[in-house]
Amino acid sequence: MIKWKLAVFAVGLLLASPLLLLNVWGIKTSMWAIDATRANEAALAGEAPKPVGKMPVSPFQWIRDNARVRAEFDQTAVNWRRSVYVSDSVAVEDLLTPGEASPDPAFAPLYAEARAARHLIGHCEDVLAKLGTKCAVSEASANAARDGSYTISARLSYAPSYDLGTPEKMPGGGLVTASTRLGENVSDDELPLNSAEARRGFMDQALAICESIRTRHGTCIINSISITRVVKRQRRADVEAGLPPPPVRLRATAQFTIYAKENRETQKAFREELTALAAAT
Amino acid sequence: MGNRQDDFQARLERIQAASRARFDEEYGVAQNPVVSGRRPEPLPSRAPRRRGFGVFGVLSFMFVILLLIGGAGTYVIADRAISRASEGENLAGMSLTELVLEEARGLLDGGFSGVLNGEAAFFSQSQRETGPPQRPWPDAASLRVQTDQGTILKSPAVATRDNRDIRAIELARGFVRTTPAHEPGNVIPFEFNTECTLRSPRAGENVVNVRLASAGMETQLQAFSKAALADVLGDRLKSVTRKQREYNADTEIKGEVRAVDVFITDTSAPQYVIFQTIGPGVIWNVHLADGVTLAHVAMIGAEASGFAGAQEKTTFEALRVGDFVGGHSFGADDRDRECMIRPWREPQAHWGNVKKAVKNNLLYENQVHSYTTGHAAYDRWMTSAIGYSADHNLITAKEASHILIGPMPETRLTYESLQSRDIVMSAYDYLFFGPADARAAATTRIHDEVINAAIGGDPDQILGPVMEVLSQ
Repeated sequence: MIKWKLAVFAVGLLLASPLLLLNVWGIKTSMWAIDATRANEAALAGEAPKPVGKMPVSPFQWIRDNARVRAEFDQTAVNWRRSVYVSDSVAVEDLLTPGEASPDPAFAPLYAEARAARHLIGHCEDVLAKLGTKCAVSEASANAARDGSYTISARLSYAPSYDLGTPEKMPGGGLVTASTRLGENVSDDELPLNSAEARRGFMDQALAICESIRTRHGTCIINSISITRVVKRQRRADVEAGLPPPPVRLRATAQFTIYAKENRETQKAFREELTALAAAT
Repeated sequence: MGNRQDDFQARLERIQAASRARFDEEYGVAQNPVVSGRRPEPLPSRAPRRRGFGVFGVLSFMFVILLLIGGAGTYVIADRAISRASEGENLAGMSLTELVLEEARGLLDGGFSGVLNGEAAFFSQSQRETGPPQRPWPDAASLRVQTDQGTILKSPAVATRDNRDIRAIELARGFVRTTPAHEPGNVIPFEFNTECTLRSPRAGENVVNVRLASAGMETQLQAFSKAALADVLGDRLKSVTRKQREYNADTEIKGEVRAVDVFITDTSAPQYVIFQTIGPGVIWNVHLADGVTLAHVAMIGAEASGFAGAQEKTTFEALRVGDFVGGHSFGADDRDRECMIRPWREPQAHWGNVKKAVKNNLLYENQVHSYTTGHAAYDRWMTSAIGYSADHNLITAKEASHILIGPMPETRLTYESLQSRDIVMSAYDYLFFGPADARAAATTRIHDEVINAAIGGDPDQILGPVMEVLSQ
């Protein structure tokens, strides 16, 4: 009978051990948070900051990591980890349907926030033309500018039409990510004008870089292409002379991910490789 | 030997058969027919059972009890921490983890009994509020509830300058507690001050400060601005557009307006009263004793401000905190500024958070520090604005339903609830009164109309559809 009880106890312990591990991790995390806070307070007080280690990793992080790798390399899903960021500057009136009355000024920010996605979903056409088989707005926002206009932006998430490659499991393997500016050595005045052609040009450039990476590493994901508007301030003299404002140009940065050994050396080498590729394309 | 065994077996079978036949004859049913001649195996002898649960049983029981205690303790700590975080309490930039640890430390310092007492007080209060009117009226001293941020004076207790234990019933004949059942008369709107100024007290006027965190009585008034409505609806939209959540129409602006009775009995000079509150909107329901002159009413509040019962020559004005001071955040609205009208109350030794701060609880130290600097800054603004300190003739509490300015009256005043009483009230974009269900319906309708117009379509399609490449 004692044997049975010991067996039940052992099974119970086995079942409870994940909870015990989580508790130990929770305590470690709390201690880490306290150390980090003290270090911040010391820094704010002008004292020498005390070194704080990395935040403790959950004992079950590997489950999340595996799920994340699967999600990243899912070729068919519209995934927010693969996105193109676009933005525009609009007046609230630009967001209204024909004949629709202008909103009460107090509610104009609501109109901008609610309709930003619908206004920018047209950029999905660029994404579908170059990068994806499916595209959707996964995030959108509107922020009021001083001149009464709204800067609206959206994250267009997509299912890729290009090949991501297949990650081959390796010890210590994980997702290695790095970013680069597209058109590395281009000055602001040489940036392309705001147009669909320019946006698609950035996507072509990212695809070419990704192709080179995949050839070497076996995998490549274009995690994001952030296309931002560059508006040069007009000189007062030009305004007074009635000259038109300078044109809106576009700048882009892209982030790429590969499946490789997850360490500092790989990270550094990947970043350097990306910079070189971006300069060459 | 074998034959003898066979004989025995045959005899046994005959006996069993005879026994079965007798049983069948007697009861008419077959019972446990013997299917083989083999003798059934004897049952193993049972070891005598020990009394009690045994070591493993006791350990398991203790483990379960420990789990229950730990779970309950964690719930209490986390619940308090999350409540405080969500109520926008000044947390000095602390993370939830730190907050939970601070709470745990506070409770271990002896606060657990406080929690339990607080819960008990809450439940007993709920019963009082929902039950039939209490007769006789409870003792005034028993109506004081101490909290982290000062005293709550439950109705009918009256807040006074010298903290006397008085009940409203002792001040006014026909006293009834104001409730949402009381339908006010006319609501006469006025505009908030657009400049950060208050009328200066005239020579001979007696300046009185009344400062509450919030008023104690509910009314059937509701008021909110378009800007506040846009904020709430903006949060609804952003949860979809920025946080990828389902559209949720549950969040609505409250626009609650509460009430306080103010009994003024000081006939020594014309009264210049400054009503101050930082909580929901307040109607100050004024009752004047014979011979009192109410010269001026100034109101400083976070939301709607109004009053009833003024004299014909009483002048009035109101400042809304949000028009001049941004949202509450540590280190922002507790410092000197051009128009520092956030009516901070100065921490007192009996406040719970002061007691905890004295025990080196960092969270409460920061909170008390913020209150103290905020109050000092507010006091400097008030002194520069009207030439009197914010603490001049001060009557204060965290929450009160009735206030006495002046001495105890020789004869009781006649009480006037808000029922059919005209109210002078700051103008709001949306201002309505009526039964709770009608107000709730109107509030929902207003929210729906504005948000549906802003979206211009289906709320579930704010982010639009998934676009696909059409196959050729």
